[in-house]
Amino acid sequence: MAYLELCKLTKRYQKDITAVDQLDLQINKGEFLVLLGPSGCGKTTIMRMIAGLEEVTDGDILLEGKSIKELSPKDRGVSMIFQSYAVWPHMTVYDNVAYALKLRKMSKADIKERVMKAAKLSSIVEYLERYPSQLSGGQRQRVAVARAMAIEPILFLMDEPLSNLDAKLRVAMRTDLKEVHQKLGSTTIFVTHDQSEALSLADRIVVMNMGVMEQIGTPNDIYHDCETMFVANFIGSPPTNFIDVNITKETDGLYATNEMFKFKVSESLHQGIVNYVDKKVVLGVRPENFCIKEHDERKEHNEGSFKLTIDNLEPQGSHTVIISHLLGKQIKLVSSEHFNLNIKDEIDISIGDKYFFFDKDTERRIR
Amino acid sequence: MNNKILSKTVFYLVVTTIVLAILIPIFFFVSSSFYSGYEMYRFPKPMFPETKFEFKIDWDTEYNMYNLMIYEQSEDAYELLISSAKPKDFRRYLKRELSIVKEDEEIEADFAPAKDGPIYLTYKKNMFYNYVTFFSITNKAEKAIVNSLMAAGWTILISLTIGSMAGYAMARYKFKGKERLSVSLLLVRMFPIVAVSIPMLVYLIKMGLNNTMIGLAVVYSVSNIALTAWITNSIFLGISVELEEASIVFGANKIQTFFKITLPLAVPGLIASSMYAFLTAWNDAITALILSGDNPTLSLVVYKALGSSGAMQLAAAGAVILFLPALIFTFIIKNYINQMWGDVKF
Repeated sequence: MAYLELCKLTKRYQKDITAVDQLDLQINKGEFLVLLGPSGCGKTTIMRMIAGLEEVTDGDILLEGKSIKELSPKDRGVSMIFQSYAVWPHMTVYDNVAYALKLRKMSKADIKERVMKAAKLSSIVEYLERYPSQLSGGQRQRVAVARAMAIEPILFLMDEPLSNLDAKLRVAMRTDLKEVHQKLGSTTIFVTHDQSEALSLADRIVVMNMGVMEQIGTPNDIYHDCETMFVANFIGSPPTNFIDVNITKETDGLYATNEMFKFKVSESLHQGIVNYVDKKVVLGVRPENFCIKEHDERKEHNEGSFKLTIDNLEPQGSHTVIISHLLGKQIKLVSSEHFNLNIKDEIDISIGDKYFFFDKDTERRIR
Repeated sequence: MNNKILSKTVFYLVVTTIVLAILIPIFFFVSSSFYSGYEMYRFPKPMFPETKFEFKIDWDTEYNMYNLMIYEQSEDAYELLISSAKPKDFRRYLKRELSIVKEDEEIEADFAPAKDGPIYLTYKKNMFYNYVTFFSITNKAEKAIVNSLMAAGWTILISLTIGSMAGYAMARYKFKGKERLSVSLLLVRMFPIVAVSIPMLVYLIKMGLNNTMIGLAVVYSVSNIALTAWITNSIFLGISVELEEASIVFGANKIQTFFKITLPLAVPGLIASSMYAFLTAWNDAITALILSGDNPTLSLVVYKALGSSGAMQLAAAGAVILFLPALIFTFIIKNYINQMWGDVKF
């Protein structure tokens, strides 16, 4: 049985704005779950409902099979790390960490022990007597982490905890957070709009859009096995390229064609795509899944290959982003082999063996 | 470069002018409060009050009288002040015009040698004569200080309690007509408080609150609640909601959160905004004259002293008594003033 279960969880504001729509989600004990989505997708609302900061309009939240929907925040035993750290400026670091323990009427010795333990884990022992204003952003974030750990919560909620840090610190804190999670083995829900954060931290990722769950899966599933066009577009940098194609049936199989190219659809996809013969579908290809050859006028084109003119190049060190256009739409390719390209060069492109088809109307994957 | 020098010069000229325009009157009345009557009406007036006077006394054999003469520095000569045979006359004159307090016997003993030839004496001035006299001639002065403190205290209490609640509500909750409410609060402030005073007097008489400090404070609060609401609104807006939410998640209820998180963070700003309430109540004389004429506040007493008695130096002493508490209060809270506009820092 799942540890935390969201059943048809719904949140509506002022009757007509639906922030979260009938969300079903099961979270296992000890799991690091990331809620990922653009701003306004409802991911923070879900977290706030679990914390008890926001009332549930409809549906239920079950913790170990028992509903916690009606419990006040203090009886839920969850702890939260906020985007702005939310460490209290008028208290020392020690008092910040001890605040929740004092409210629980623990003895002074117990409080001290817990605070020291949490401070050691988040390495803020030397700052305990200081005020938050004397600390840097990263140190304040550590205080917030220590404060959250001190109550030994049954559930950790993290609301974009890294987004106020500068880029380098963010990556360092990311590793630290993962280490803390591994040490404590606590169940964690982490909200972010940063895909690299999500991919690097999560056991499983929930991609949210407009209050609805688009896909749930491991980071690899989410990247390589997108369920919807939204996920394919949202995850990955540069995002997936979408190209309109027609599906045609020929004697030796199914083909995807348009004005520029034609290629044979792999046998494994036939089961779904066969229903789309003579219809338009959307082909999705990740930038790194094109096969690139430098164009050689003397050679014949390979089967299914086509010409592209390079509009722009963005060298990234380990790879180069090639910007071009196809049928009036911009497409982006990534190459980690071809570094001697120039703008206006022509290249030979063919679709590799990794691609997705999406239904044009439902925007869902055709399998 | 030249432009920079010019703009700096203009800046400092303007600042200096403003500072002087404020400081010169303050200096004038502080200095005046230590003058004796003689110094007050002398021309040119000395910049700083004297601490002692030098006298020459001789014996007029023709009329059998002492002549009291004072040394006038600007002319390097002695000037006749008063002639009399009775020490009582000298005692009165020295006290009233020169702030010198002596007994009849003392004066008689000091003056007696003058019968054998002119003598020279130096008497020390009682520097705080005006302050002592202010309290003794305006018989309600002590009561008036208590009254002023009470009126200011009540005004702070009423306008801060109601105003900060309004400010908190405007900062934290969404409700219908919020914008209109906050603007109409400011409209209240546009009424001259004197204009409101007459109808208010009728109310206060009906409620039996005329001539009381609570009644006066209620009227002062009318205009101050609006300002306090605006100031506290920005203070509470400056306190991140996440700080309160964190407290709730970590096990506090709303009341605990308010007293342990919100209030301590707001206190500096609240103290700063209490300054306005204090100054309104402390400085006002006109409303007090209308609403509490029989039970005056200090500023009303000083106002009346300025108008009625010919002794400017006494009024000046009253003005210093009036202005010191306001000055002290403002100095105590000056560190908090930056935080009044929601700039919560520690």
